[in-house]
This record gives sequence, structure tokens and C-alpha cells, in this order.
Amino acid sequence: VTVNRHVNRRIRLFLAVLVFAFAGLLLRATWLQSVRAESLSALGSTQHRESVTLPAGRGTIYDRVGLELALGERATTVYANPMQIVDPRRAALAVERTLGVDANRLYPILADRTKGFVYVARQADPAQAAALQRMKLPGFGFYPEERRNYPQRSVAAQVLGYVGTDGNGLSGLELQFDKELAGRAGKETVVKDPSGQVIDVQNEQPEISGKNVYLTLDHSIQANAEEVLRETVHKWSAKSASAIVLDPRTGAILAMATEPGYDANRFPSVPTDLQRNRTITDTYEPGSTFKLMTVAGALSERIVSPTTRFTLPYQLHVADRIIHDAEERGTVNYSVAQILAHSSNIGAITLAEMLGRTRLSSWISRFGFGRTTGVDFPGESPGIVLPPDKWSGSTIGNVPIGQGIAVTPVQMAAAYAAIANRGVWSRPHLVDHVGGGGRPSLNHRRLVAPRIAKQLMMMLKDVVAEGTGTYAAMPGYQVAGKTGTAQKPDASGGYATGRYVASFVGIVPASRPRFVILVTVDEPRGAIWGGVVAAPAFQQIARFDLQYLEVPPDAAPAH
Amino acid sequence: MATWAAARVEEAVVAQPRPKPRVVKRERHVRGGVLSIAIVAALLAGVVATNVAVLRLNIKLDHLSQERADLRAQNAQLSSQLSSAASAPRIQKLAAKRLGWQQATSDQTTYFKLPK
Repeated sequence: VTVNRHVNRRIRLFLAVLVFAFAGLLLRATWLQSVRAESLSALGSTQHRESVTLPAGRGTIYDRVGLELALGERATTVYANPMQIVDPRRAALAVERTLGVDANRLYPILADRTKGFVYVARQADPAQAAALQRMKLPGFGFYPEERRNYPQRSVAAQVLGYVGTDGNGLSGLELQFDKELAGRAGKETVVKDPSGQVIDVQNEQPEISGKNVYLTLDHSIQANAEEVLRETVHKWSAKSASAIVLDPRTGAILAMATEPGYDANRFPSVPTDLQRNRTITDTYEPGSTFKLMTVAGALSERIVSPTTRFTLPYQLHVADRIIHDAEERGTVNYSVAQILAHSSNIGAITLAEMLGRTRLSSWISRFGFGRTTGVDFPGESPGIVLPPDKWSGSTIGNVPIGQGIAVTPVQMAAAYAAIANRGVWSRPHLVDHVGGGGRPSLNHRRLVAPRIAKQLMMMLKDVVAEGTGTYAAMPGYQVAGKTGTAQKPDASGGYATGRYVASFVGIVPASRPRFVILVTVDEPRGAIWGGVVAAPAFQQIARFDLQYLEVPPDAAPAH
Repeated sequence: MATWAAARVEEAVVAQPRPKPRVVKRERHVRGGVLSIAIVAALLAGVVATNVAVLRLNIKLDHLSQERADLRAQNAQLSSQLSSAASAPRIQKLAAKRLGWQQATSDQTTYFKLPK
């Protein structure tokens, strides 16, 4: 009985211990699940749940024939938490070995334990970053990013612009179409096990890739234009040169080149001066190429016809200025067509005086000078055109010959394209369409009657056949065009000595125009004339383009 | 003539098989219990198996999405290389340099007008 009693007591004691233990556990469980539930749940979430941003792929920019001009490539950004780095010296050396980052520069950054986040390398090569990741250095983190790549390197670099390290378009078409190209980043929450293995993915918002942008530019025409400009700049020791190749029927820009250029993949190290697309953002005094507007106005207002003749002295007094023709000569008797062919300043001013400042000003405005063309590129300059009420006495002697007025190359090319397109102006544009969307509506407006456009084309053909633009001529094709040589203004309001802009605007083939090509050469040395410096460049560009797009000659022999 | 006692004995004799259904009932209960335990166990095993399968699928999904990202990256890199290689000016330069080819000029090109 005594033994049984002892046993029963032990059993009871054991039971009591068990009851107490369970009660303790129950209380602890209640405590953890009620009072500390929120904080523990949050702590748990941070340990096994992670919110991940899914970067949206930036759209690709294609040229006219479907060649990629700008596309996104995957890169890996490497960051570190210096507070978690055990051996900064070893870590810095490992980074130098794998990523090529200077260890001496990196060491103080990694050793600075006051910071919890530092970038080690932005948009590093994924293979090199993976090699570093395999080393499993404590305190290092990796995340994927997209790096913009321009596989054609310098081709159309100023037009394409560039994208910053955060993936935002910062200049050129990358900026203009940033919204369309960028897409929308997605977000997802991943649940990880203690080893870091993803065991569940909760999609919250899928990423939407950016749209592709299809340009009117043709990489072959663009590359050739750049090559020709490079040679021209070198040959004439010029400061810079620009060219535009435009389809006058639609306003589509096939090439927009500026030299000197640069490799678009190295934009951060390129001076901002080189990054400008000068054909759109910069203005110049056009000189004689502007005489076409004066003649177009005079013909349209029926003041003269192409055959109307004028007796023209060598020089002329206009207010306080004496203006003369470029080459010394005696008094001549020129028709309107000859005024244009020989690029007579006196002839153009005579026509302008007949038109009067109001009508001339109205024709300048009608051709689109003094306002932006609406080309799909950021930072377009409207040019500088004085309103008629601000003209001085001598302005009527400057503006008709392209002085005292500043235009952009794209304005000038579009104006000549209108003449080539039977008097109808089309908005110049670089983008054909975006993504799966349709083509944007083309903005057309009539500038001059088809009859006037035809007369002007005849006169422009004479300029190349027997006038100042003979170097633009090419066998088999009729070329229409106009040369321009303009002195550059200086800071004091006058003109700089020995600094000129030589230019040529040509239309080819003149019978069925397919291209309007404008070439400007800034500060050439050795020769300054548009007909000598810019016209041969035009001819080289046109010859390639005609051959490349298989444009048959004007007078093809019958076979 | 039957007495009350005899009648009770008879009743007792008649009532004797009664305990048998109790055993059957108990056995049935036991079987039912075992069956329910088996069903619950099977269900639990199914839930566990489903969870394991979902887990495996999630892991596979993660690997596949990583693979997709890698393939996209490779594709972009190849597109970039292809774009550089397919550039007409580059091919033209190589043709001129390696093969001595020259681009035909406009006067070396003949155009035929095909009859309609």
C-alpha cells in the first residue's frame, strides 16, 4: 500500500509538472500570438518576404530598314553594405580582380562603416558580376538593371541621344520618346526559405515593356552622310559640318548628320558641345540660299516673271550701308533666273525692294522661318526673324540675301523640300511610327502655286548647270540647288573677319525629286564658297543615295 | 401451465443472443474510427503532397523565370552583335578592304524599264 501510494504521488507530481509545463507553453503561445503577434509577423516578413521591382525593358529604336540603332542589354549593379563587410581590403581587391574597379578608390568607401549602402559598380558586365557573386563576400548585393547599347556606335549619335544610368532618356529621341520607350516597371513579392531559395512568387503588378520606335532614318544613308562630312571637315579644316537628307514627298528625314561626331556608347565622357544635333538646335545666317524665298515671293505676287530683266550695278546704297555682289563686275543685265543662277545680291535686294518689307516678311513667315517646324526632336530652335515693325532702314538690304536672319538647317531643308514637292510643305519628321500604332498624320500646307514651284525648280537647275553650283552636278541626273556663303556674326553685332558658313541645298533628281540634301560647313579654311566647299559634299551624298535607293537617272537611255 | 418463473427463464433464453449486436456495433465503431483516421490521414497527406508539389512548382517557376531573364539578356546581346555585324557601311568597308570591291557608281549602273 505504501509503495502504491508513493507511485501515485510520483504520477501526480509528474502530471502536475506536465500541467504546469503545458500551461506555461500555452501562456507563452498566447503571448506570442496576441501581444507580440504584429511585431513578430513584421520581423518574419522581412526575413522571408521580399518586394522586388521588375524593371521594364526599354523599347528598341529601329531605322527605316529595321536595323537596331538603340537597344537594352542586361547589366548587373553591384552594391555593398560597409557595416556588414568583414575585411574591406580583401573585398576591394576581389572587386578589382573581377570588375576592374580601382581597389585604392574603393577601399575607403568599403571601409566607411558609417554608411549602410554604397554602389560598387553601376551596370557592370553580368558575367563579371556573377564571378564576384560566386565569391560569396559578406555585405555585397546584386540586382539586375538594363544598360542602353548603341550597336552602330557613332551613327546618328546626336539624333538618338542617350539614356542616363537610371534608365531615363536625357537627350535626343531617347528624351523625346521617353514615355513610349520606357514602359512601366512591375512589382512582385517573393517568399524565400531560410536558405534564400524562392518558394513562392506573388505577382502584384507585371511589368509592361516599352514600345519600339521606328525611325525614317536609314543607317546606310546616315553613315555615308557622316563619312562625307568627316572628309569635308578634314579637307577644309572646318570647325564642323551638318547635313540633312529629306524625302520632299513626305518630309521623312533619311539622314541627319553632324560632324564631329562621337560614339553614342560613351556619352558621359563626350563634351556637351558635340552632343548637340546642330541641324535642329543651332541657327546660322543662311546667306544666298535664302534668296529663293525672295524670288518665290516676287514671282508669287506677280511682280516679276522668270524672264523679267533688270539692269544691276555692282553695288547699291541701302540706308547707311553699301552692298555689292560677291565678285567684282561691271553693270549687268540679268533676268530673274540669272539673278538666282549668279546669286546676285543686288538683284535679290532689287526684287525685295519691289516686294516691300511687309510682303517680304509675310513670305518669310509663310516658308516657316521664325517658328519651329514641329520636327519630332526636343529643343528645336525657331530661328531669329525680326518682325517688320522692328526693321531698320538697312534691313531690306540684308534679309533678302540671308543676312540679319537666323534659320536652322531643318527649316531651310523643309523650305526647299516644299519647292521640290510642287509647292507643298510637309512637316519634317524623324519617327515613322511608335510600337504597333499607326503613322502620325503628316502636316502639309501649300506655300506656292505649282506653277511658281516649277519656275523656281527651273531656276535652281540653272544654278547647278551654269551658275555657282556646278560642283553639285552629276552625270545622268538633273540637279537643282542653291549655294550659300554667309559671314558669321560676331559678339559685337558686326561680322567676324574670315569666318564663314558655306552651304548648299540641292534637289535630286530635279525631274522627279526624291531627295533634298542640305550641307552646311562651319568655318572652312582655304576656300569659303558654298559652291566649292559644300556642293561637292552634296554631290557625294546624293550619288550614294541615288545608287542605294536605286533611283533611275533622269534621261535613262532606252534599252 | 407456465409459471412466472418459467416465463422469466424462457425470456432469458430468448434474450440471450442480444449481446451479439453490441460487439458488432463496437467493431463497426472501431472500423469507422480507423476509416476516418485513414481518410483524415490521406487528406492530410494529400494536403502535404499538394503543398510540396506547389513548392516544387514555385521553385521551378523561379528557375524558369530566371532562365527567361537570362535568355532575354542573351537575345538582346545577340541582337546587338547582329546589328553591329549587319551594318551595311561595315560590310561595305570589309568588302573594300578584304576583297577589293568597290561600289558601282551611277554611270556604271543600267536601269531597265520593264514593259507593263
